[in-house]
Amino acid sequence: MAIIYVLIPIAILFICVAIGVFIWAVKSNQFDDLERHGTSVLFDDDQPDDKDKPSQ
Amino acid sequence: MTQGSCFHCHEPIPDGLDLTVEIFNKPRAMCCLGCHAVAESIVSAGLTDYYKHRTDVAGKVEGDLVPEALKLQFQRLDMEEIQDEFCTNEGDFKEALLSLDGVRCAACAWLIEKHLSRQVGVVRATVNSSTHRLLLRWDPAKAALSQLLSSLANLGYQALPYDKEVEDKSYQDRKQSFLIRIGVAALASMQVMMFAVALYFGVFDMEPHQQSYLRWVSLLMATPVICYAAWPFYRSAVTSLKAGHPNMDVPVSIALILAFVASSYATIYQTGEVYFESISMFTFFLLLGRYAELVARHRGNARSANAVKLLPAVVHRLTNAGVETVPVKQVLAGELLLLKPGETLAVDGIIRSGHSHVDLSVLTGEHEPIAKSVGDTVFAGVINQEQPLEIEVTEVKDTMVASIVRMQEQALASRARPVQFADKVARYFVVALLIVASATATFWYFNRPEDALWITLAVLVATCPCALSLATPTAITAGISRLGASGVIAKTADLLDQLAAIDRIAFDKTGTLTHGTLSVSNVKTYTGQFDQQQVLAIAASLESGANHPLADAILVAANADKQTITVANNIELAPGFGVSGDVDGMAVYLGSPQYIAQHTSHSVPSHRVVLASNDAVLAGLDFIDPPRDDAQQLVEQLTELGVSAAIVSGDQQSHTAQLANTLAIDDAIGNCTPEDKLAWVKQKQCRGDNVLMVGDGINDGPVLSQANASIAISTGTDIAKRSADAVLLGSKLMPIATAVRVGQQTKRIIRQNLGWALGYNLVVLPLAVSGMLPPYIAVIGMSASSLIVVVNAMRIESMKG
Repeated sequence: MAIIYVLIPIAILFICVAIGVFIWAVKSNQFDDLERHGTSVLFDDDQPDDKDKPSQ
Repeated sequence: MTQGSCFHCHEPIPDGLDLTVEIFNKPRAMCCLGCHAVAESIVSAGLTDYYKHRTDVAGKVEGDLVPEALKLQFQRLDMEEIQDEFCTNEGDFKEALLSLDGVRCAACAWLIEKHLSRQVGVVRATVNSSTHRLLLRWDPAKAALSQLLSSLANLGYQALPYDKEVEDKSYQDRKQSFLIRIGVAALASMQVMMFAVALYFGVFDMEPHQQSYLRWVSLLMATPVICYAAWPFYRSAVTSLKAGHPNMDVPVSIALILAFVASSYATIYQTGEVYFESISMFTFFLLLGRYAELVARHRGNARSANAVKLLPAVVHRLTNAGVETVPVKQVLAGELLLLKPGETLAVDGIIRSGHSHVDLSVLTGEHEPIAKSVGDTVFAGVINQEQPLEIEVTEVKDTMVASIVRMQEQALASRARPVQFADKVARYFVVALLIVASATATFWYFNRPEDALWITLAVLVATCPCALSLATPTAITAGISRLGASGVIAKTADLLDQLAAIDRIAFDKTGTLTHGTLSVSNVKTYTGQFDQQQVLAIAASLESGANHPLADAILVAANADKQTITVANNIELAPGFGVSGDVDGMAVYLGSPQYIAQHTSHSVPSHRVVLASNDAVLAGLDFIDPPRDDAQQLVEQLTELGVSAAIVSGDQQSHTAQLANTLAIDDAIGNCTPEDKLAWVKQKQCRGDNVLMVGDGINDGPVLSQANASIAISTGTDIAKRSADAVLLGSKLMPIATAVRVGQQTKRIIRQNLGWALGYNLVVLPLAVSGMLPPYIAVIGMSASSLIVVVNAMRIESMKG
């Protein structure tokens, strides 16, 4: 069980990094609009410009 | 989608219009040139995905896509000194926060971003679909801001600089700090809980030094939660104690600090129990509840604040030296401004010279221009349609538009009666709770000193009246926000409470149930000489120069327009009675039956207006003021809700009864003076009825104040709007039924919430006092009860209809 003396500090280190990343994300306004980005995956960004071709 | 409605905005398609755009390989009908142009530009840009994923229909695109006025306003935004006010320089690029008009759902946001990012010179465009703001970064060397804004206006979205003053900066900061605290509490609690599981399950085969180690790391992880994440609770507790009204944060803070200190003591001296996981979780759930409340409260405000943005940033000031263009902020009351045709007025003022028609749609929602001349008051947001006007400034900052926005904010801020009641209950509850907790501590200290602390903590945590104090305000906030979304702007938070009790609704007739504009309902011919259409044509040529509601109705019915019509000769006008003239060489008379009887010797049939020649009575015309399209539906829905409808009108009894008949309303009282209306409502109230009055006129003012609840139509008079508890925006009536339903639902939810919160507290208190409730169960119980209350309230906001 001595391993916990190594693993737990590492885990705590990860937590600190995660909190840091989270704070960065909040400060850069990534949580301002939660409705919006849930649907963004639905939109085809690279639709072929040639609309004359029958799709599928 | 129903047949015969516009694919783009779902408005009905006017008769005889044939506009289509091919979308998803099918021709789709459009209701107007505006929608047609927008749909075409969406399709040609390859952005048809918008139609696939949108969750709300687009706004109708009225008339000109980019009116001259808007173009001018956009161009002014290119001026360096004006850009300095709302742009920031980011290296070679510029960045501006703009507020958007017309955004309905996430698909709109996508459409705008896509469209803008394809424009030359745009570096980045980000749209927030919940606050309707656009953050635009562009290269001023490659594109002018006015070009970008015009191209956006071509899609039907209007973007104008957002006034930083209006933006609630403190809300953003508070929201961010809450989010960070929640994040810290969540991540740390997860760790602490893992250690707690290890301590709990591994406690038998764990060496003492390992157990001590796990406790130390738990202490390490719990410290930021207690010292940082829980900070708002301590602050609020201290403030409330200073004010002498202890709130629920007092027991919360005591419980958190006591438990933390005791657990730390147990860790350091290696005795007793630790409850780091309970206090971390407690903090996390409390923060979640507070955050949900903050966001719900703000959402209603953000959209109304956007209304202010439509005002231009610069005005033309008239001085002795001539006209100069200055920012609005430099204008003082008493100065003279020049308002050119097509421009929007940025201040409230009085017309000192000139006369013109102005568009008041910002204030009233109706686009019909209204004549204004010297001495008339005009409000910020009106658009001048014809002639230049000289306007004396009366108010720069506290304009009518700004006060409407404030009205809604006040409604949200004002504490409704049920909220005040719940606050009071919660306050006594907190005091009682503190007493019970001390008594519990004393009792157990003498009986089982080793458990006394933890039992007391369980009492403090489990019976925390969080759910009790959240129960009502969250429901009211959600209700008001739901009303706003359906177009009913509440002026007081009490409105919901009153709406729930309504069992009778009284409508004014003209302008409320009807549009207030007449149309020809019946043309009866008395000779074979002319058919109906010809009768209307003759009447129209007599009325071509006139300007009163009956003449307008005749012209509309004859399908004539004032420019192309053949005007009758020798027109003689008897205002208020009738008109005579020569049409195709024949002398004809058009007017009231009395007027015809005076001028001819015929026996006159009974009609509103009669057309006669010297030989015979040719025809009689009748008029009606047709009810609004959804009036029938509204009455049906109200009946379903158990609300009986009545019409109380100043109009003739016969007209009132006729409309009541069409709409299947039982009660119709005509010929009412304002006093009669008042008396009618009082009489119903004496019988114990709760009356909701809907009206628009000056004569409705007193009765709107007297009724238990009242709604004014936005096109109505200022007096009506001032007297009413709420204002109905737009030309649809259905939101009234929605409002009644929201009121009833809110009341139901408040009852459920209070019942649940009180019930929970009463059940859990004896358990906690008797020491049968371990702290972590107390935490789960309290958090779950708060979350249930908040989620229950949110149901109001997602109500349909």
